[in-house]
Amino acid sequence: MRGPLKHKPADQPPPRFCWWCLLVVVTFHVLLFAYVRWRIEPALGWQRRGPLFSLTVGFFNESLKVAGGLLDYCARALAQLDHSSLGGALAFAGLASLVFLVTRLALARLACQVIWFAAFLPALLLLAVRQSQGGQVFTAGLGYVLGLGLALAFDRMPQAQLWPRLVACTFLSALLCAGAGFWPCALFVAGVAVFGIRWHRTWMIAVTGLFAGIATGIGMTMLGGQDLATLFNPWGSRLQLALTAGVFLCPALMLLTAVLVTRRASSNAAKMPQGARGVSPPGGWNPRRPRLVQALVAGLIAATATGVWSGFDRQEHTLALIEYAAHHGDYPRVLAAAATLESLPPPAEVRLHRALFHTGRLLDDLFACPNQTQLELLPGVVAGPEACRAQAETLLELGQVSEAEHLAHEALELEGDRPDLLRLLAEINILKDRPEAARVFLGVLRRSPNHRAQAETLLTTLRTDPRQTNDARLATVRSRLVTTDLPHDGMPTETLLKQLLHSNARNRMAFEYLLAHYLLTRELPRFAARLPQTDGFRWTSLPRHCEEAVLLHQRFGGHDASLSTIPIRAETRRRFEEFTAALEHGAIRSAEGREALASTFGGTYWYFFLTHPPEQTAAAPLSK
Amino acid sequence: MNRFLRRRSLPRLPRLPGCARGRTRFVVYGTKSPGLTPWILLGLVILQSAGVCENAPIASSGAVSANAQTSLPRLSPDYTGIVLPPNIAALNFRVEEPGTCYRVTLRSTHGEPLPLESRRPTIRFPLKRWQRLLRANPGEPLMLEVSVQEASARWRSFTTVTNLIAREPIDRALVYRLLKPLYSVYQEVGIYQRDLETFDQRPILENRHFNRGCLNCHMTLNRQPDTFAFHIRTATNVHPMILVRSNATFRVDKTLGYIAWHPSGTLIAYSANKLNLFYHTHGETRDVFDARSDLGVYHLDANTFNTPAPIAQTNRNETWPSWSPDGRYLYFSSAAPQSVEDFRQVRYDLMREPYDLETDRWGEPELLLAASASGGSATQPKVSPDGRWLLFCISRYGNFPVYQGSSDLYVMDLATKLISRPDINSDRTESWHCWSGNSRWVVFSSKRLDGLFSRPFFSYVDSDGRFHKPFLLPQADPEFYESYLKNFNVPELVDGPVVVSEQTLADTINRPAKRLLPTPASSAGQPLQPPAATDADRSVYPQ
Repeated sequence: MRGPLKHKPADQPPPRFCWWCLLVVVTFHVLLFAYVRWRIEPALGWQRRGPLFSLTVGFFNESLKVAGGLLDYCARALAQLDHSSLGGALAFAGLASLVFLVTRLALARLACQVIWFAAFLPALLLLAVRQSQGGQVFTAGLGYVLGLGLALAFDRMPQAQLWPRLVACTFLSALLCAGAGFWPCALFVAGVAVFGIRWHRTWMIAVTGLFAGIATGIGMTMLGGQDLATLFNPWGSRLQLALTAGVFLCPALMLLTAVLVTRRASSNAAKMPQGARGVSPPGGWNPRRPRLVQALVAGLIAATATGVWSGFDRQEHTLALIEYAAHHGDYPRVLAAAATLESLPPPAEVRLHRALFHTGRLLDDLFACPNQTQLELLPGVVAGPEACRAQAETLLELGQVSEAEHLAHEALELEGDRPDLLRLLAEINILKDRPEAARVFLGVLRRSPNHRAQAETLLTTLRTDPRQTNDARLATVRSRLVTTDLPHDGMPTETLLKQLLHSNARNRMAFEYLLAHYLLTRELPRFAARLPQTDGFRWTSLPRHCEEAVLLHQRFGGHDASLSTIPIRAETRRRFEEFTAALEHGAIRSAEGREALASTFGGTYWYFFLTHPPEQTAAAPLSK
Repeated sequence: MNRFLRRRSLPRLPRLPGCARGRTRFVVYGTKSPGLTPWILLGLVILQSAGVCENAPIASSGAVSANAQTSLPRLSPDYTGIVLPPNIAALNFRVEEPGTCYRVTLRSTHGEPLPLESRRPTIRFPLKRWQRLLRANPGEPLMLEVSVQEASARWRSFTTVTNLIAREPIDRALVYRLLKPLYSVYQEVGIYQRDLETFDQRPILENRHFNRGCLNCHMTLNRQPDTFAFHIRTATNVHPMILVRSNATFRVDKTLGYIAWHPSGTLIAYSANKLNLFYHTHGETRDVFDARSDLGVYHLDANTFNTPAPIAQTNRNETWPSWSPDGRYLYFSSAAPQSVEDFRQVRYDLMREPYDLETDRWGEPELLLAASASGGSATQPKVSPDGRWLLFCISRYGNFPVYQGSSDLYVMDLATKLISRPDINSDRTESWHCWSGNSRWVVFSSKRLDGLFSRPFFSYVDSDGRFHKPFLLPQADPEFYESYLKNFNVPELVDGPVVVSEQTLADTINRPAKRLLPTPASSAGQPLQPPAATDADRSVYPQ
């Protein structure tokens, strides 16, 4: 270890104020804001992740139990702004500005004004984290600002003896690792190291700080009973780890490169004549090199920006949009978004079916969505937690409140205390005449700043009206509730829907779902037996798929009798004749023929019937 | 500074102008330390105004009863008319009466009264002073005077709440499982212990330590914290029992169901069940059907197990084993097998089987309560440690009372065999009961608060077998249960804290140093072959 520290050279002259630089910076951040606001749309990700942030002492104390918990708590608080896309975009733009600022200051500290715009790079990487739908962007951003900012502040401390600085660095590292986690601590230590090497020719302080930080982090992790891997990767997914590590490593590498360059330049400076053109920080840059470095940095920024733009996950964004729109009852938007995807995962498919029903198109366009993969209205628990949540909403609307409760609880266990689940479970318990249980779910919801008002209103009305009789949605569901018991295992879709119709024969949703179920499972005799009940719903015309199924059943099932009092349109009959003619000409036997069939009849029930073999379902009621 | 110090040194408050003017006065008694700066006091005032810190003790003489009420105040949780242990943590509550300021005075025969005042209706007693008051007054009444200031600034006093401090303490710790209302998947399950004298809760084992497996019912030997057992279910389809004997841990690679320690500590009676979880579309959503079950005995010292014929009859389903405190009887539930379609016809008799530990012999089974006589299904028998009372559940049907809204607790006087329904039941589920070591306290899970979540309630049982009004496990935050989404499952009173560490238990599961593979006892009949574990088995979560 060296003796007393060398005094650092005099500070650099402040960078000259440059209007076009300011313009670039402002434009960059405006673009960031616009990108986040209109392309990423934070509200979609917020709805998808459903993070619950509680303004309670207990929640705060829980956060403190793990290394980095304090920063995580602050980040979660900030992430609540994602509730609206505008708020989320503003918060991100503000955070990106801070990231830019500290990076810019760090570069200035190393006399690298010539590549000041390299400070855009971490902000761009942060944008990549933002659009990867991870909720860690605020943790990463705040950690970055904290780590690098603290390193800058530490470097500005009075240059005393080595030991006080050593102690201060050790203490700060430990504190940072405890409160903000490993990565901000590592960035702080890297910053201290780089500044130390640049100005003081010592790296011992940084090494000590690194050890202190890691020791603290490991200690907290072990004491908290956490897996050690969570210290280094608190984000879980590899993509998030890679992107966030990129954010933190970027300035460290940048500063290190700057140090090496300036040192070399410094050594060259002695050989250079005074007053050479170009920017000349102490030590001076090689007049030809800055251009090269500038070009390289600019290229890197452009490449990163291109990577961010092309790395936008359109599929994930559309799925989030479907979820968001379905949650807000914007069903036309759900259909429009679903149509853009090649294949739909089960949760999106469940939402698609609900959107089709609400737009009155379930029996008209169900088979016009060839991107369905499950082709099941209610796939059950096996479809995963998100599908459980989606099905719970459908089941509640249908009137199967106990089944909705079942799936909502499955989702609650796996997805955590999501606000939408809490609200749903509150409604379920109101419908099950357990208003006190509904109050418990609303009690949790009330802790969330974004949902406090909504929960408070509900809690207040629950006091005076435990059945929420003035709630139109609940009143509708209540009119559909099953009145009998059906013990069952799994998800016997048909039986559940029939039970609903047994309880309320005018349950249009259950009726349409049942017909759709028969169509999906190719059970045309049952479909035909159920179809005459359309009279109770005052249909003026048969939905397209029903017409198609009737014609199919009459032709291939050998049932000539009319199944409904509503006549089938001539257009449908004509197309069916074309379809059967195509089949008779062997269209199904050749690839070209199948392609032609798909292009002409792809959205029809006939084509679906022809191309999807029936499957058996295991779920069944226990007793009749 | 002088102003603050003067206020702090006030011996008592003649009146409460702070409340009348909409402010809260905070007066610290007995504080003589000059180190308290005005800033700290100011901070405390701000915290108090925000309702963050505990309610401020005040002078009791300040209460002016302008409008006396003859009714009891409404408290949440309901802590009126109860008998409480002398060693229970403070029964914090919320006054469910509208008002702008609240005064509560707690007093008993001996010791200083404990007056509190708050602008918020939540009342939190200082723990130390609460404990001091209770310890000084075993067997004495505990009186609670509540008055509320109305919007018109008039004070309204209520009838004094009179509770009774029992002479007999309750066991120090309560062990329970915390889990959300689960169905077929699980993420967070853990067994915890709560110090009943404080609000301290610590995990005994959380399932994050073994890949989010499931933790099943725990059972201690004679309420000793150093000897207990529980089951786990792992993702690798291995369901071992974790055995802790005198704080030494073992992994027993055998799937057992519900377990009961013989008081000698040498045997564990267990059930082997083939359970199916299924669902209803009306009423309680979950239900369990036990297709086949038998009882067996695990001999710990020999590491063998057997299935004695008297408790493993082929034409009966036996389950819920429980030993008498002297170890001479094994109590259990028994029913004739039914098909799953007839699940509503499944009703269990209450039986007991004499057993001689010395000779390892079983006697003739004795029918204690026939299902035909009770009209319901009797399950979960538990004998009081003094051997006098048998507490059990009766529900309309089935083997799983916690999923039955009809489940109530019943008690049998084992001296007379008379059965009564104690007045501690509600119209919702009561189950998972446990006696204290001195037989004076019972803890049980009840869904009475909301019909969904199980919460632990305590009841005092006097020497005549009378059960007194149950009260809810107190929490530091009186509003705790109003936003808590987990069930308190299988509450069990334990005579002290469990000291074996969470890490040790986790290691026993993941990297067992002592692994036992029980073998059938050759001399004791045919070994019981528990039904193969199925998905349905794994999906059953008693709660």
